[in-house]
Amino acid sequence: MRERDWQAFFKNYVVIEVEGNNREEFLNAALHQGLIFWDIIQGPGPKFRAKIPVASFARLRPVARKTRCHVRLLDKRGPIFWWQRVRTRKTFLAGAIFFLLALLFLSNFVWAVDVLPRGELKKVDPNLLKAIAAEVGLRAGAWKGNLDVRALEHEILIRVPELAWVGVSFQGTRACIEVVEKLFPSPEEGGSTPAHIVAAKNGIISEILVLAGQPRVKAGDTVRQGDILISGLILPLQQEKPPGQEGQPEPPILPRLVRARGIVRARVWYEAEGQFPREEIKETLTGQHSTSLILRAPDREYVLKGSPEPPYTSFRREDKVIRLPAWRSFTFPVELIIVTYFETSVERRWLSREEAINRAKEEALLALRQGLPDRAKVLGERITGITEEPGLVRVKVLLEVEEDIGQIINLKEPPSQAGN
Amino acid sequence: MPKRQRKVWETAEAVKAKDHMASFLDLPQEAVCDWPRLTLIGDTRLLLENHRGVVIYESELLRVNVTLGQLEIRGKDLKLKVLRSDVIAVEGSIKSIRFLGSTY
Repeated sequence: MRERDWQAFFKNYVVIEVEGNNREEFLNAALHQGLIFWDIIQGPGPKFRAKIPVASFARLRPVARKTRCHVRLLDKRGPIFWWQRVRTRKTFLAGAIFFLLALLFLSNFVWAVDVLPRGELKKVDPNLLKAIAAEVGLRAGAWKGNLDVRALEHEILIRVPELAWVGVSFQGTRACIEVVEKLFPSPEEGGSTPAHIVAAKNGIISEILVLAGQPRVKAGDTVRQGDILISGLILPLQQEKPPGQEGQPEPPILPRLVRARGIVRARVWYEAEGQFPREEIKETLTGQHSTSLILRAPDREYVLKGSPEPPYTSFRREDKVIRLPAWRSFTFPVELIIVTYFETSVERRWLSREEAINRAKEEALLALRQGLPDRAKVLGERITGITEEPGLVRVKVLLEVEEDIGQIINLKEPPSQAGN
Repeated sequence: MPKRQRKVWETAEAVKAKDHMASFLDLPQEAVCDWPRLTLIGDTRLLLENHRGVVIYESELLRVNVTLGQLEIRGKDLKLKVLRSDVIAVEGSIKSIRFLGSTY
């Protein structure tokens, strides 16, 4: 029913000024004709200003004449009149159109090429990748319409054999090349250079499985760190000479060199120390909480709501920072912080000796377990020593573990010397 | 403006009867009796439906013909936000709204 202000923005209307002594009569006569007015303001003197639709302006003339009022056109507003004004300024219009077209045209080019590695690049140089991309056609200044993303990805992948996957995408005028490198097996595992398997730790061999090489230890043996477990140097077996051929010169059999492979599991022991205070401090939430709103500017803070100091003697604090999104390198300097204080009640408890020892043991074992290699099997754990200090318990723990202690060491000596 | 001819159904008795009927049948009275309907929002906006023409319009006084007689609105900086043959929307600070002498 009412004319909204924002609707007037899209309408074509004229602002008129009506002067005369029979203005009310003029209004009534116009209303009788079915005309409508809006924003009528009494001006100084015997006149008022009003807005009317463009089409009804002509219909006002007879009404004005009949009521002996004088109607003056003050302003024409609305899209049509705006367009009429703009049309007369040809150069300005041409400039605006040119700007839009230029923007559209230039946004069809690639302006920058970026390499976004997924994970660390070890073998491929990003600059080299850029050079290759440029060779294939993906370079700054290239017309986006001419680039076939799938073909580019394929081409780059073929040219750089170290890559496992390439993804090309556009973010506006920026081209992003995402790459994933192939993971090559490390030379320790593969390769064919002769190698020993030696003990990485002291322990007692529980199980040995030889895939290549000559075993030097057997289950039950105690080994020290650095002892050869499986040798890559295969010595010829001492063959018993058949009777009657003794004394005959034997064809010398040279030892063979191989890369030792196998699994040597051994029992190893780890020692660790853990401590735990006898007095346990336990914090529990009481359910009470209060919130403060703080506005932080670069040089000071303003508390908008709540107290600036925590209202509880013991509490836990949680901050939620709200900032406006950063644009490029500009970050908005003001941020809003919602601080919530949760009241806690502190409870102190004196642990019994057994409890404290148990906790200290758990503490020690936790640190140990995190350092264990994969596929290690825990065989047992034992407390070897307990020292008590006032308010504190120290515990020494021994952990028995079965794990693969084999470590591959490449043979350095040249094969020719090995024969001697 | 020419004086309006009073019709049979506009006599005082007829209006009273219509008023009764409207209450009895639970009909909106402004529709049955052709009465003005005023919607006042705070003291700044007044929507007046069913008017019969503007009598006086100054920035501090607005007098409008309605079925029951005249409606006088006093205030400051009165502005007619909308003026149509059926609706007047007044904006400004409204001080008083008063009915002047019934025509019946």
